[in-house]
Amino acid sequence: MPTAVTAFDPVSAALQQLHQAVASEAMPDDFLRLLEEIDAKIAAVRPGNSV
Amino acid sequence: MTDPSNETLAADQRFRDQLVALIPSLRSFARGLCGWRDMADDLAQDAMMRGWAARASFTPGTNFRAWMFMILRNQFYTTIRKNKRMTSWDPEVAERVLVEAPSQQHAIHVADVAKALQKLPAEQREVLLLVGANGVSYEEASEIIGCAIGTIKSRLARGRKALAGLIDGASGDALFEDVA
Repeated sequence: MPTAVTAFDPVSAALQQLHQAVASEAMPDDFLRLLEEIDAKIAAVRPGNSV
Repeated sequence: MTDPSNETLAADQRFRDQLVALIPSLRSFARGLCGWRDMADDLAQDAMMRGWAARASFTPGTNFRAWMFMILRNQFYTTIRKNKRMTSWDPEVAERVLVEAPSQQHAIHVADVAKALQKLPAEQREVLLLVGANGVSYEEASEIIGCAIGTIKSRLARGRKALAGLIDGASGDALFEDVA
């Protein structure tokens, strides 16, 4: 069965690179702080923890 | 019998884990939409907080990514109506990246694509970012934007053509003649 050959598409490749460039950045501290807040809220409602 | 509070706790933890996994995509989508790094990260964080606050309205097993992208997109359009600064892509990241076909002599700078994206109508840009950059399906994009799949396809085609034309014009060569 013949295999389809996909031609290189520079626009698609560039769009994917744009995404990868941002996605591969280290997560900024602000996001980590936000996650800590969420974790604290989750921990606060665990059975045995008082709010 | 299962303790309802334990179920809620487990659901919250799952929601949190899904949110964490989606952060890179949220940041990327936000960056492409508003074109300004700091504001994009604010937008992504705002969407995360809004998503968390509304987690009870999310139905587990449905499309979490589409749900969060929808929140982010709505927040973007709300914000942009109030703030006209969101105009240009942060060049710091884009200028470091070059897209080149392994066996081709031509190459395009991602910075050119990023700048060209910001010149497109928002309705085309968001489809290019969702489908072209984030790998979202037509169906998912249709759900996120709230329009028919046919509209998504036509905006994508028009956006690709316009983007190719903008880059082609900027670089002065004919890399994109085949782009539909």
